[in-house]
Amino acid sequence: MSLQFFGELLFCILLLVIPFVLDNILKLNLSDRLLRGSISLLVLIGICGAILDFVMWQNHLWLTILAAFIVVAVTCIWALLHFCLKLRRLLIPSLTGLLVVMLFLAPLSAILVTPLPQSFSPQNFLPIVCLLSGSISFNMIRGIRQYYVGLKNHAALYNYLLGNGCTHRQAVAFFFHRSLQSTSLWVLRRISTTMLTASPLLLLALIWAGVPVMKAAVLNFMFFFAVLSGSMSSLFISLWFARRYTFDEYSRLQPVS
Amino acid sequence: MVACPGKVSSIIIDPTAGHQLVMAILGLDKVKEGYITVDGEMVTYGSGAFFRQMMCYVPHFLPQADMTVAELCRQVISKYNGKHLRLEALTETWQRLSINPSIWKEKIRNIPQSSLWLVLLSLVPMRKVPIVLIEAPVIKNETVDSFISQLAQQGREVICTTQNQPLSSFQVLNLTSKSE
Repeated sequence: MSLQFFGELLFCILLLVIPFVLDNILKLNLSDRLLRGSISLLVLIGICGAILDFVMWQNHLWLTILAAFIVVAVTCIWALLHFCLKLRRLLIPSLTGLLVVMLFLAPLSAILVTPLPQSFSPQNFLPIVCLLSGSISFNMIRGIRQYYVGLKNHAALYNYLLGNGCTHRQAVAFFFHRSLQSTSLWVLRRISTTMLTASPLLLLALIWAGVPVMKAAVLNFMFFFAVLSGSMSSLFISLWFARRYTFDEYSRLQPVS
Repeated sequence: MVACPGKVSSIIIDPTAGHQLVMAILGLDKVKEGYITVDGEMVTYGSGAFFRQMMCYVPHFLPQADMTVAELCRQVISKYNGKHLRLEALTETWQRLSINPSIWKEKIRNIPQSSLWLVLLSLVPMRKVPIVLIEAPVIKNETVDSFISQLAQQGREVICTTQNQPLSSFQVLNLTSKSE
């Protein structure tokens, strides 16, 4: 490892000192959270870096695909745990939704960012999978939570529609629409905020990778809409799959959180 | 208890147990003891969906969901060509029940629970089904009483749960803990 690497690491630690000093002076009582957050971020980036390093060293297509699958599964589990939802009931439907969408979005995005045959090399493919999977899974799981919270709080409306001869699909249609609506609005709101944060970083990474500025801007634009369409379609698929896991034989909603 | 076509049958029962009973009749809850049949067939989770096509359910309470009265009405009777339901189709029933037509475009969270309950009751004649389940009527007055009696006279079996003071009924079954 070069001297520059240690220099960069030292600079990061120095940057972290500033919030700790402010916390100490102003008595903000944030030191525990800062420490926990920083350590978990460091561990996570360390694990990701180690996996990427190993896959790049092996440079095998199937190993890259396996690593991509693990990334998708881990982000999905993480998002479910973050929103306090039961893994036993929702892991299979949400993972199915996410995988189906990623199966189309990840290769397409990889091919657009880097021309074939380098598209599926670990250093090009895995960061795209991480970026898409991380963004889509949290939006999708948030939508799933909205759907089930709505159903739980408005169970009387669901029972009323079922009791008047509506099918399950008709009875949940209102909650389904609301969940999709809420997810798309949430993603659009996040897009507008990330335009000032993540977007320049992505642009910078693409330019570093040798992509021309105009193409980088177009790809950046494409990324946000890939996240929007991916979140909505994965939510749609997940909720469609989730029915058999979250309702009992009497069409009653089972506890999901 | 056997509910007869053309008659109103009342069940005096605690609100919680009453809700569970109605859910069990609809095939949406388990029956712990005894059985419920429709035309001699047991109501189970398997047959429930089929029997619900023959039933109309008026709940005691609806949550304050973000939808208009028109949307709610259209959704309930969407299976029966109700997607294009217009206020004109309900005008006569609403006049009888003294419902203000201006609430048609109101959000259901903005109207009183009693008015919403009357709207749900007014949808019953729109569906030509033989069984009507009314869970703990919110309003008990002469108008509602005669409206429900008329529903029964048209050949429907009306089953109504209530905590006290049943509507004018052909038979009354007391299932409260006091009666034991």
